[in-house]
Amino acid sequence: MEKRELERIGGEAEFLVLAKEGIVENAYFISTAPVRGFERLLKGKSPIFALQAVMRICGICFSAHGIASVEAIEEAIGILPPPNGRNAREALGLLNRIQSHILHLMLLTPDLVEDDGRIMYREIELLNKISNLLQKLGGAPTHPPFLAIGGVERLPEEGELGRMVENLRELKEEFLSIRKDLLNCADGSDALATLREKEYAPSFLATHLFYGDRYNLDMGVVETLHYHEFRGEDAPEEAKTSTSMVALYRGRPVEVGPRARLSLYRDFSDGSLWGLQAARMEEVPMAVDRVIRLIEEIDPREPCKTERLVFKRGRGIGVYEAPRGTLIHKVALGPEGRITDYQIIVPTEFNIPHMEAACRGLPAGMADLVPRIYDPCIPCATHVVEVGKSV
Amino acid sequence: MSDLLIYDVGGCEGCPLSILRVLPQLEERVHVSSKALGNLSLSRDYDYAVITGSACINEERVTSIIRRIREKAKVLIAYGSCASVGGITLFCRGGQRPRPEHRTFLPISSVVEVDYAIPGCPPNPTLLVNLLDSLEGEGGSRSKYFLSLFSRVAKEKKLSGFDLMDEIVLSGLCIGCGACVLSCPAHALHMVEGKPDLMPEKCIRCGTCCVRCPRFTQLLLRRPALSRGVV
Repeated sequence: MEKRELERIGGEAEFLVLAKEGIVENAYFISTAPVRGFERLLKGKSPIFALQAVMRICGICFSAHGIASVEAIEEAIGILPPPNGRNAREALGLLNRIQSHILHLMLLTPDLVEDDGRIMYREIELLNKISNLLQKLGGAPTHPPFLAIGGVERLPEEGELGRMVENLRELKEEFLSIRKDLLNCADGSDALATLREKEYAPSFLATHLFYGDRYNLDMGVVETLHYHEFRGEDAPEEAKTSTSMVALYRGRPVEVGPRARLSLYRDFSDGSLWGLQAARMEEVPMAVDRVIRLIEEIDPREPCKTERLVFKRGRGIGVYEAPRGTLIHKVALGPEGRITDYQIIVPTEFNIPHMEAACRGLPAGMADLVPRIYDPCIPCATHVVEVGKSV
Repeated sequence: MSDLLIYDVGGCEGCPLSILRVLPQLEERVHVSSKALGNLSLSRDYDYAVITGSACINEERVTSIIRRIREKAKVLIAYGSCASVGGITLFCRGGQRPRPEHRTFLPISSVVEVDYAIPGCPPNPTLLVNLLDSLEGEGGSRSKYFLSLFSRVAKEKKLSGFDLMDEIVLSGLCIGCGACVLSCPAHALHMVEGKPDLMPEKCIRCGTCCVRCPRFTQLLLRRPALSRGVV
């Protein structure tokens, strides 16, 4: 058995690989990041604090946590944002999705090409461009402060919105050119060949192509369990130390994320492991086009946030398609609108079983590729409580 | 060329990832090792080490990594609010599965001696470039101020909007410049009657306002002398 500290992923995790004659027989994905415990941290707090806090669960998919949280809180207090607020919020989420996909591409690039920094520096330039757009629409490149319960705090001016559309068009062209050059350079690499040859296509779960829809998901059949419970008795001792949990849907593992979204809501079909990355790279131009449409629908003269916020007793669920897949926030508010219970289920929890299963049969030297192609997010994955108890 | 290590000890990853945005500028100055670049090693020495994320003092793995990095680094920089002043993780109270014992998260300076601490959620990554320039003696006239401020911050165990209110606004030192309001990453401060006021339910204890306030920074710099009774 070989223990590897995973590099070039979001967060701290170890991958235990059991190989026989150089072929992987079994693998264990063990996250080692400490549990900051945001659900516990939120008890007794105001929903306004909850939004600021949950965005800091993750520095990669902050908007996703923010949006899932405000959706849940809005349901609990019975409000809806005005159209401007909804459009700006969806655009904010998608800019974050593009940013996350570009970041992941940077982490994956060294697997695909012998890079002298040329492609990576172009990717960094793209990362800076998308981060500037997030700054304009969300108020910051990370943890956007404009996101608010009831909509968004403010909108850019009309001229600024027009410039954003121009920047987005340039960004899309540059992304497509990087994708083309990367794939040309990667042609013939062992990693690409391995990923293309390995067939792995489990059942999918996704609720929406661009945003998230809680009515496309049956909360009653989402179940989470301790990692070592999921792996059973014969798992090595290290499994007990894992700081993440595993989520199942109808008692089975399901894949969430870009490939699930495109397979369920578009005519995308790629059953190889490379299909995960192909879908991710397909989502970037699609998201750019969608954000342009959303920005064009924003009317800066109309309100972007509902004025009537009354915090009171209630329950709500927010479901959002984060960069890595379906993200669920559940909230219960007490009599003064303070949080009495908060639960978060994140996409990486759904995908952990696949990172392990898809490894089987691969050469041991290639095993690290599988978690990386699934793009796990450990800061998120350590924030799941057991579901099934009251909320 | 000097060697720089970037290591996250269990934060949200927002800090190390925002540093990637200035990688080309960093690589002109230092050789960078990090998990994101896939060239991480804790078994060699570094001129500079950047730690992001706060220290979960209930997890031996985390505290031993922090100690190890301190041993290997000539200069240790706590980067971001969690690492420098605890930030949002000061609110953690443990009790959550699968590891309910992960209860207390503190600034890196609670475990080892930190040379410089840069609060921010996340800080603007060019700050790191500027700090390195200052350390290499190429930061220009602001270098001395820059280095003395961030080394003073490394001695603080907490900095937040609450401290700004107590030490500056409510004690009458505030000049009403509004720098704190502009700097707050959670938009927790607003101007009321010409002076900043804190919306406490929005403050994430990141400390950005304190290092941006012209009065608070002076207070930080002069506090050691003041406590000795020298003014």
